[in-house]
Amino acid sequence: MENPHEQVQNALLARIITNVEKLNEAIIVLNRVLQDVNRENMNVELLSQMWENYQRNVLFNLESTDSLEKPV
Amino acid sequence: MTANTHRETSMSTYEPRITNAAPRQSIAYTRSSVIGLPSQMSTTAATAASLRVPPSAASAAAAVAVPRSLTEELEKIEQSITLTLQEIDQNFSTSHRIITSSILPIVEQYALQSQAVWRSSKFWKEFFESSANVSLAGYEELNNEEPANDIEQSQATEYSATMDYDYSHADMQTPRETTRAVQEPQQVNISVGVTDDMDDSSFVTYVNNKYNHVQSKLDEPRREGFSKYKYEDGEDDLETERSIAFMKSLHLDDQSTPRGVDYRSDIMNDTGDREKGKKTQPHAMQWANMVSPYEEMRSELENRQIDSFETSDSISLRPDFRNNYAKEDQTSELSQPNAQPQLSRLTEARTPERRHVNRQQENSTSDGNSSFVLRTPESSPFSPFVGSNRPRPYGGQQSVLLHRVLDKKWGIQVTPKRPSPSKASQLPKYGRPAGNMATPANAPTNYASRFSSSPLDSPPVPHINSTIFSSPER
Repeated sequence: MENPHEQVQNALLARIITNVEKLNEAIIVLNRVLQDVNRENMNVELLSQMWENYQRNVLFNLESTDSLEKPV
Repeated sequence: MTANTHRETSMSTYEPRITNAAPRQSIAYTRSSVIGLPSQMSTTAATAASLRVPPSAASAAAAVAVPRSLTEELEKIEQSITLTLQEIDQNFSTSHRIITSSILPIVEQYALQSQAVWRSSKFWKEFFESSANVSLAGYEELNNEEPANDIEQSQATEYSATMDYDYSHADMQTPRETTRAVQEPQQVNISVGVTDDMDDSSFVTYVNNKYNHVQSKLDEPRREGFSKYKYEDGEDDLETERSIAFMKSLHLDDQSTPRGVDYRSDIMNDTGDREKGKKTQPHAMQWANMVSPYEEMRSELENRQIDSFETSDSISLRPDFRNNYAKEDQTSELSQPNAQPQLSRLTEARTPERRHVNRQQENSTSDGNSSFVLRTPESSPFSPFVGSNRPRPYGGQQSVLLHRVLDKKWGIQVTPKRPSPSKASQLPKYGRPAGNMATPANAPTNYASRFSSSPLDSPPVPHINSTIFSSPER
């Protein structure tokens, strides 16, 4: 005789497996989207680095000469 | 056999239930009766029984309760397992629902907004690219797992361009830009930087070439170099010839000729001695064997880098000022933040004096193996991570990646734009047609037109009065 508990638990496990598979696929999609976003944001990050360096350079150059910086 | 035995054992395990012939309700009823929970049928009987229970019956009930408790415990456990599995299933379905319903749409909206941000800021990237005369090709993933040697060989192009805008000069404001080639002999990395320092009446144009090293003498007064460069005798034909020679020397296809052109006195001396009044013919430049402080620093950095690189198994971009000089090895590393301040101090010490970047020539004739680095002070929008909070993947190393995303390391690939050889009017250093440059309406002198560095939005080059340098003195 089969264990009724076992039957129920097997059925529950089957549902769990199904849900986990769907969850895994959803997470894979999420990861891919996030990867794409991150890859596209690297250019923006690079640009921000450029501006940061530019600002630093300008600040240095202004400081080395007659700096015009006087914060308001 | 084993299955049968297992089944028999399982059967035997659950035999009490079967033999009990009582459904769960009955089991529960029975359990409740034993435990003392109220039940419909035997409430009064239970109370009566509890009053009249003799000790023997109580002991018998207790004896019966022991195996029932085990069964009940087992049943309890089974039910708890079932309940737990149900909860697990619910949690998984809930998480799946949450991810599908709310997180993914939000992330997609974030992606759309990020694309809008990038579209808006794309102009400035092109602006920097054009000013540096390079093209940022995109990101190249740096493989962590490859050993250092393989990395040196396999990593094709890692390149960083630096820009330094010197707006401190009131009269001469020209961008000073340098590019540093990092890797790959096949890739021609050419960048031209110009430092125009009218205060010192000197104007130096230096060309970075991967295959050539140009050494400039810092000790030489700029004025001399400028004067030497300036054709004081006013011979236009010679000047034209020099310009043509310079143009040819910068021809990208021709890698056999030295590309570095230094208009200091050494060049003048090497290229036929303008002072002697001879007609100069373009020939291989000879460079003085001087060890510049810059070169010393570079060698120091290289030694440090080699030591660190040997211990590391990661690749990273090399800073502009550190790299490329002689290294046929195609590795690139970013300088450590520890090294950065030192270099920055050195560079900053040079910047106010407007020293020219030391250039060291390894091969007067390019053999495809020499590399050239023109380093400017760390004023570069492309010099990475100076003072930035970049994650340091390897604490002991001197390398910082351009981008590190999780377990991937990304470096940027930069390729210089090939100037058109047919355009003789192009300024040598930027390879850009004169029409694209923001030059003033008044026609600049040959000197200014040749060496005025003007990216698209740089301030216009002021008119240089060439008569100043027409004095006969050398």
